[in-house]
Amino acid sequence: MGWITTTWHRLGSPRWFYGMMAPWQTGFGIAALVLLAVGSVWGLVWAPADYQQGDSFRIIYIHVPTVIVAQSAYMTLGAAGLVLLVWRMKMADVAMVAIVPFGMAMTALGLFTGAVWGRPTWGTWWEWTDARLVSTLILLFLYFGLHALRQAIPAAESAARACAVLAIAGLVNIPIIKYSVEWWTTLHQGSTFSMRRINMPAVMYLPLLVNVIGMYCLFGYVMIARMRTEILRRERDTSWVVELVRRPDVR
Amino acid sequence: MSVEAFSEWASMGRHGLYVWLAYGSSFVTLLLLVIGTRMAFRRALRDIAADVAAEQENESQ
Repeated sequence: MGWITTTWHRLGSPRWFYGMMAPWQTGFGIAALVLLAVGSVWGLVWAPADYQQGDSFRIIYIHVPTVIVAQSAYMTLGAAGLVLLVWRMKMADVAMVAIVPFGMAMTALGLFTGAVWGRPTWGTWWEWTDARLVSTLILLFLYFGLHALRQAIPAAESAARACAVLAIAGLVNIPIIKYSVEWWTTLHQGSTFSMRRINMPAVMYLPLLVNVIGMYCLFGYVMIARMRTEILRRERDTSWVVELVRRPDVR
Repeated sequence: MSVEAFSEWASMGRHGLYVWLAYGSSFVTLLLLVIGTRMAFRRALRDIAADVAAEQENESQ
């Protein structure tokens, strides 16, 4: 069990994270590129059209991975907020800074691709009375709020704590998004994946699975890259960063 | 693949507009996200390197 404690303490060290995570950043980046390319071509070319929805169904291969990872990013954000408040680990704040722009982009993209899929399927781009749609819009506003809150508070430590509190409070919205299709009447179809069953034949869900994993790799890449950027900015006066930028190969 | 077969595929059974709009917007968003991330990283390195170089110059004078 000792390695868990050791890793936990090392994760709190910006310098260790910066060095150790460099190969992970590259690995996640390459994996994301390959998986998303394979999954998308598979979904667009080889997967069969849906017998009810026809070819517009193919939007699932990009829409579902996007919204899944937008919600996972928010859960990571909430967990980082908790770590910051409980253990006062500064790296948790670095993680929060890194996740917000990614989550914002993914939620906005998820809403957009959902509207584009809704138009041929339900006959409407948007429906204000639909709980799944509105709770996802709230997720976007939470990301906006977290971004605005950090800009609004000049003292870095206060901003970090305020963002952590908001991130944790916003976690309430995650189960609401998940169960919205069961609790309320909705246009939105039920979950594609669940722990017990997959509501699709293999020829349809395999490309979806590839794109979901690809999107998580993209999340890993963007999060690590942005955390390392934030570490450089925060540690710019330390000797290890000064040494690092002096090396000709990093410029 | 013949031209007909390709245009048949690209039309996505009358839903081409929606399918390509969804995939096009996704591609552009992900591309901008990755480019933005890479640029921010390089800018941070460059800015700090410039500061360090300027400081060294001050010290040597």
